[in-house]
Amino acid sequence: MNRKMKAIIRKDIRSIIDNKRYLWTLLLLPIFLGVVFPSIFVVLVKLVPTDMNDMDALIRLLPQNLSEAEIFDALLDMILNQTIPIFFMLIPIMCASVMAASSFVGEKEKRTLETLLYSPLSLRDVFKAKVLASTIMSLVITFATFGLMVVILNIELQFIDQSTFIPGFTWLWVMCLLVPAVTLMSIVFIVKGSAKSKTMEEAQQRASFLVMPIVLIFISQFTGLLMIQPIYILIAGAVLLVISYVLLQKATAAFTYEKLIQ
Amino acid sequence: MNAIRIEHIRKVFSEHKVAVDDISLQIEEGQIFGFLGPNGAGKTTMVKLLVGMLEPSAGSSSVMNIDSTKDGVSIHAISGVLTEHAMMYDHLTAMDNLVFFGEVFGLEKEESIARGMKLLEELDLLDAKDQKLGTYSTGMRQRLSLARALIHKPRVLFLDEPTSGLDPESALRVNQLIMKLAKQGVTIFLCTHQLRYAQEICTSYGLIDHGKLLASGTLEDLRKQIYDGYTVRMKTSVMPIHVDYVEVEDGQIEFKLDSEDRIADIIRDIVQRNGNITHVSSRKMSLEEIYFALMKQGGMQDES
Repeated sequence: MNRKMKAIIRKDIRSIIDNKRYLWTLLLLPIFLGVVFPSIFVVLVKLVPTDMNDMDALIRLLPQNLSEAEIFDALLDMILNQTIPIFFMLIPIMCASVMAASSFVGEKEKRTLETLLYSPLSLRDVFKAKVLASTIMSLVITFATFGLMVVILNIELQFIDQSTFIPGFTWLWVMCLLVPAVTLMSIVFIVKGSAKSKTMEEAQQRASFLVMPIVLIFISQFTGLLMIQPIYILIAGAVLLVISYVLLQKATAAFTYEKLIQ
Repeated sequence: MNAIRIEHIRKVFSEHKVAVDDISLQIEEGQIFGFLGPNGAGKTTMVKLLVGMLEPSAGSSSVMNIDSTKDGVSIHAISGVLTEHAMMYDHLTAMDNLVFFGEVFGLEKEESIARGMKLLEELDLLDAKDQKLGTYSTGMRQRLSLARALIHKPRVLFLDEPTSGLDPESALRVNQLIMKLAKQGVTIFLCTHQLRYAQEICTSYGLIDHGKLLASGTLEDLRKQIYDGYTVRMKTSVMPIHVDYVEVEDGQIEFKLDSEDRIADIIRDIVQRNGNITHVSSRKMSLEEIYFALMKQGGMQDES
């Protein structure tokens, strides 16, 4: 990566940080999904377990020979280590799509993309810099949220019953493979739609299609219909990462100056 | 050396709209070339073809011997482009914008700052260097865009209506800067529909309408294509003989002469016939007159 590309990455990240509306969008959802949402489960399961009747389906998935206290600990472990990680993927989808929409479509909308295309950087390098900016921003926010979530959940658990939360293998594969994969996939959706999208909002709507499978898996898990084991997360993450990368290369290669400045 | 070479270039957009139709041109290094035509004539399309942003439907072009189609990136490295649609970042200050574009053009940050300060001073924007671009007026934005196009010391400058939206004082500064750059050897490709403005600063011209090049060359070359003589205006009590004159405003008459030498003979003749002459002036065809004459010719050819 050369200095010219680094300048674009810095500028793209700064564009989002300087815009209070987008910055709050990028921060509020991760705080809700990564901190507030898991905390609610911790409080519900640990402090008012009798109100957990809605989770009967999940409880039925647990081993039968557990005591009542063990059932609720196992339930919390299942929620935090298998259900929340899937829901957590909404964070990179949202971050990457907001960032990529600003970086690709926002620049086109504000007519700054044309100016950038007059620079001595190939179209491919301009795209690469923009994809990197969106990826960096998405990963930084997602990993920071994850770190914050682990810290806050452990503080809460210490206060409640001196227990701890140690992220399991699902988290490992989600953070290392699925998060980068859905980040790239969101960027692909935005990049592919960027030639047609006239506004940032329009572009972001395209990426919202990615939210649907995540929500469906989350609901399926919650209703006990489906419980994805870490190994499947590993496989799905690896496959999705490869597909996203290939699609991104194809989407980038399909662009010409002419398509972008029309 | 030719800084810009265009050979039989043609651009047809998807809806079969012919934006540029078989244009050939050569522009010498250090020239201020005025590419003149009405809005929608194909001027901006030509700039985009030259810098490799658009693919020609036929023909070819090069800038400083670099093929526009094959190596747009190298052309961008030696060119500065100012078009109506090429905006800068509203959330950055003027200086931050210049530093960013300097870095994108491969300059070190310190070099970009030093160069930016010099350009902002020349374009009278130094006091507003730390203001965000969002607070800039149209004229200030236009001047900053010119500074941006010049940040990397380009050898060729493509300017699309560089003085549009500028007050007379700012326009004068911009023109002075353009002429200074040309003296330093920078080739300027200036698109405008302001003919009087073009005549003030350009050294050669290309006149375009509906994508077709009507004529090109220096003002003298263009005059030769239409009329290279003089238009004489006179206010006299006795009408001259042996000339076809027409009456214009304020009791004046106007006639055409191939040579200025004949004016003296005409005055002598009128005086000998006891005529009183209160006004005599002569001029060659202006760029505006040539342009309209060529447009009329072009229109007549299209009709036939």
